Amino acid sequence: MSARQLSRADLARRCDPATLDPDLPLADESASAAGIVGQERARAAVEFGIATSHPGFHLFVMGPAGSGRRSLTRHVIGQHMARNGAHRQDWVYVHRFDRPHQPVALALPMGRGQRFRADMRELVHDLRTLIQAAFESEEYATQVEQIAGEFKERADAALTEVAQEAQRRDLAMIRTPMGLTLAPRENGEVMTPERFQALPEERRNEIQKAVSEVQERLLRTLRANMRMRKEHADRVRELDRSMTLMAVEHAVDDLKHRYADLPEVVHYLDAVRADVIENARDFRTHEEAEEGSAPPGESPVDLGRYEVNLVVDAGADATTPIIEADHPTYQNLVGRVDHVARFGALLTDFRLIKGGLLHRANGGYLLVDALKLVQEPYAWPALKRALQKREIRIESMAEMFSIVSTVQLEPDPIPLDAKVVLIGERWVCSLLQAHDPEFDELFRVVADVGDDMPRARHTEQGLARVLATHLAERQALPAGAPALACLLDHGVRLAGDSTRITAQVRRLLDVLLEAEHLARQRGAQRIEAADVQAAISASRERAARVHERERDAVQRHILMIATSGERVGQVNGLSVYQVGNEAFGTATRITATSRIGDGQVIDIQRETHLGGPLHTRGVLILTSYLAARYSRLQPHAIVASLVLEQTYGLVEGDSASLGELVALLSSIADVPVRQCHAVTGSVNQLGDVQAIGGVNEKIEGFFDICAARGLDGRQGVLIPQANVEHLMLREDVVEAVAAGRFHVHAVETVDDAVEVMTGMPLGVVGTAGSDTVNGRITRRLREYARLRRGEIRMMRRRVPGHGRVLFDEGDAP
Amino acid sequence: MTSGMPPAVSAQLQALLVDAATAPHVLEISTALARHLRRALDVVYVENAQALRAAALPFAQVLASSAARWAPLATPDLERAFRVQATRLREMTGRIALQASIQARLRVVRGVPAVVALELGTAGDLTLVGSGLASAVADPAPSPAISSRVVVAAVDDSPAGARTLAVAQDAAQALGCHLETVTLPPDSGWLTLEGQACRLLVLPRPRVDAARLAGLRHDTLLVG
Repeated sequence: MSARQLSRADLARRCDPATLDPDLPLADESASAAGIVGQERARAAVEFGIATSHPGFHLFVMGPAGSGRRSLTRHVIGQHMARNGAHRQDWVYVHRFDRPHQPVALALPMGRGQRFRADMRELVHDLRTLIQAAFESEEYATQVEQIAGEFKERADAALTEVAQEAQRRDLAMIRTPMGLTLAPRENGEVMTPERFQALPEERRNEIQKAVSEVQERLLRTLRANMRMRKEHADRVRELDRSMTLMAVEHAVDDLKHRYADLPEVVHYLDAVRADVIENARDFRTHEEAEEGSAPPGESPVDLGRYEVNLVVDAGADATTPIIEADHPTYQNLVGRVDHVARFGALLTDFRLIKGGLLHRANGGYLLVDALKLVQEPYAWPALKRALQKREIRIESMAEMFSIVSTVQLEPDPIPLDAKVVLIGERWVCSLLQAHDPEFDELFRVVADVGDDMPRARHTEQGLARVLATHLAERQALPAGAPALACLLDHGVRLAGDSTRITAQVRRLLDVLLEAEHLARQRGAQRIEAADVQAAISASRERAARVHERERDAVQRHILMIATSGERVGQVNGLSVYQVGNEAFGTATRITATSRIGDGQVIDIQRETHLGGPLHTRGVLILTSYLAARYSRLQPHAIVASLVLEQTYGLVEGDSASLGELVALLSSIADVPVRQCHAVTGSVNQLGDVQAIGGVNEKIEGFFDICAARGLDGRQGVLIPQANVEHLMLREDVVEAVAAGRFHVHAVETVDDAVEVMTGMPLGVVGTAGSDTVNGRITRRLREYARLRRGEIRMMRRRVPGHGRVLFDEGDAP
Repeated sequence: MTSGMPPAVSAQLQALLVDAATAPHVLEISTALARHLRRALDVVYVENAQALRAAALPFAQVLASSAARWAPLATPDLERAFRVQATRLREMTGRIALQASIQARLRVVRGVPAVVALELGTAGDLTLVGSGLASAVADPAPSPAISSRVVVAAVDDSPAGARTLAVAQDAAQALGCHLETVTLPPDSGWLTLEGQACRLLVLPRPRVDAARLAGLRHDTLLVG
């Protein structure tokens, strides 16, 4: 097959505005309402992932940003919820009275958490009133006084006995600031030291003995009194209990009855009752402070321990529980325990437990940006732990790393029943799959949202409808069908394939919104195709600084690109580069030289470490092709050098290999190459030309260079036949081709390309006699082989009109 | 403690303190009375002379209420303890006076408490004596919740008795208690108040001597 010159129809397949609804009704409740068109495979995966309730079947939705991953997920969840509803619960943390550092987590049916919190506040309020009243009653005062009087009487009696004993022995029992002392008396007064010293020794000894004995008795009495005080305190405490019980019983029982269907809550209320009874005094001394108003630790009698910390208030939000984790830090995910500073100390209690995203998503769905998640320290391991254990455990990071050794709260873990959906680019998913063996155990469903989708009427219409809906949601100007058709064409360009259309709705919407701005600026009532085209151009222009400089350099011949004439060993190659979201094509001169040698093709890019592996691979393939095709039965006695001229950075990709091969063959055959052509394509070892990327940008890049110099009707580009389907060229290029001012040739083999670019018949390989490209190559390679074997010697002779010419020794004139 | 010119004799209420344990209770009652009666408060702390004498004895020992055994007692130790106690009571008096917005001062005298209490009658007509005067062991002050709400006035037919009744009425009003009256036996007879719940006992000073005063188990206001 020979090269095929492409017609206008081959160069672009435009969207027909007539195929779009004239008024483009806005999207209904169909899938497109969520901004999703096509993506059936991804949709099926998401639907399965959302529907299945097996543990470990969490979901990773991967795909490029702006492709509707999130919208698709939300849409599927919404549909699932509409069919199956949601089972959510309120969760509260309450004080654990026997182990205050381990707050209790209680589950309540949705909406009853707030009620429970209010009930507990009311209970405390009531108890304060009731207990205060009970303890201020005359009955209580009388009983306390009776007990106190009884014990005081017993204590006094015991002391009185000691005092009487002392008195009998003529001793005085005296109270001093340091305690009690005993001294001998004389005439009702304490004996002076002088008088005591004046007593006979026997009397002094008697007195000292009496003092010792009374001292001993007093000591025993005081010890007994201490025991009595304890007994007294116990009796008063018991009285307090019974008084409190009367007040508490009714109030707590009323609550227990209200929550009888929740055994855990009833159990907690029992603990509350026991604690209130045990600590009734707190209710008597704390009347001025409202419960919960004082921070923990501020008041010595803080009734905040009866508070209810509602960490998940499912009833507050009746909408579908889809929680989007915008900032998935460790603490935002699993929750945290706050502290308050008081007098230099950090204090906390169960009231300062803050629920995280997992708490909020419990019973529902959590959507997390995978990249943000793995970038946040410890967030990914924390999420895995939660999913593996199916519980949310709030752990302080400081405690995890032993930064602080103080007692920290250890709240009860809360059972986790949420579906987690990670959303991210493919490489993030691959990274996790490759490096975390637990990833596959937890995220067993991976939905792959495509970058593009098949181009069909229904996808075009669906996409147009989605875009129109977005405009309506933003209260923007509407877009006419021609404008949307133009935008869809742009979507096809972004897909890089005329049979497909991009799925990146966001990029299209960005263009549309810019077009809307332009339309509004010119006072239009709707967006026209020209607005869209202007927006596309403007966007491209913003990214075109480097491209402009390069074009200028080409026009000034600083970058040497010939677009006319012929030259041996020189070919216009084509390359493409990316600036932001915009791709630009440009031409690059490829040159090749050849000489006698040992069969080597020197890739100067590779030798200078400016060639990437794909480029090197391409050169090696063409080397192999060359040797296998032309030197099967003789030594491949040639050395050739290849270079992409005036490139100063890394060259990657194998799309230049066809151009390199043509340049090389031109050099070996000593056949000039037409410089009006540029070529792109990769080759295999058999000489087939293979598809390359960025074909539209490459063609347009060379077209722009030629157009700037003036199209002469001979210029054109050779592309692989396999790329023809990808063509979606600019309208000016298409027009130029239609007018015969520019050409696009599709080639299937190297031979096709050589013929077009040299204008010389290809001939048959191995036939040295004909003046064809292959004939010349055959002849040259044989000569080199013979030279290598030493069978002939070459010599240069001056030939009039031809300068110095190389001859075989025997043929020289 | 407030300062300035000492009030006139009749404008004072005297309160006798013998230790720190009963001081809050005595000061609470005396402050309430002084405020109600619009009198300055003259707090008198008595350093017990009997205790000093006992401490001078060669075998003197002391047993603190919280201690497990007897310890040697020396006069310098006791003197130091008196000074410390006086400082504490001065601070306490100043604080309470400030809170109650009354004039108050504390002075220190040395003597036998019951005798000093009676001698104070020459400097004022109302003297409050804490129950600790008689008690061998300092009792903790009863909490307000379990205090009796009764003021007992012990009166006779004398003018001092009438004056006592009037003061007792004021005291009951000041303390938020109700008043009960008992009649003192004629001549030198004495009353028995064993088991009587009583926040304050009001007595005519002429009917009280040192021995009787030392034997009383209630906070007592001497009138006259």
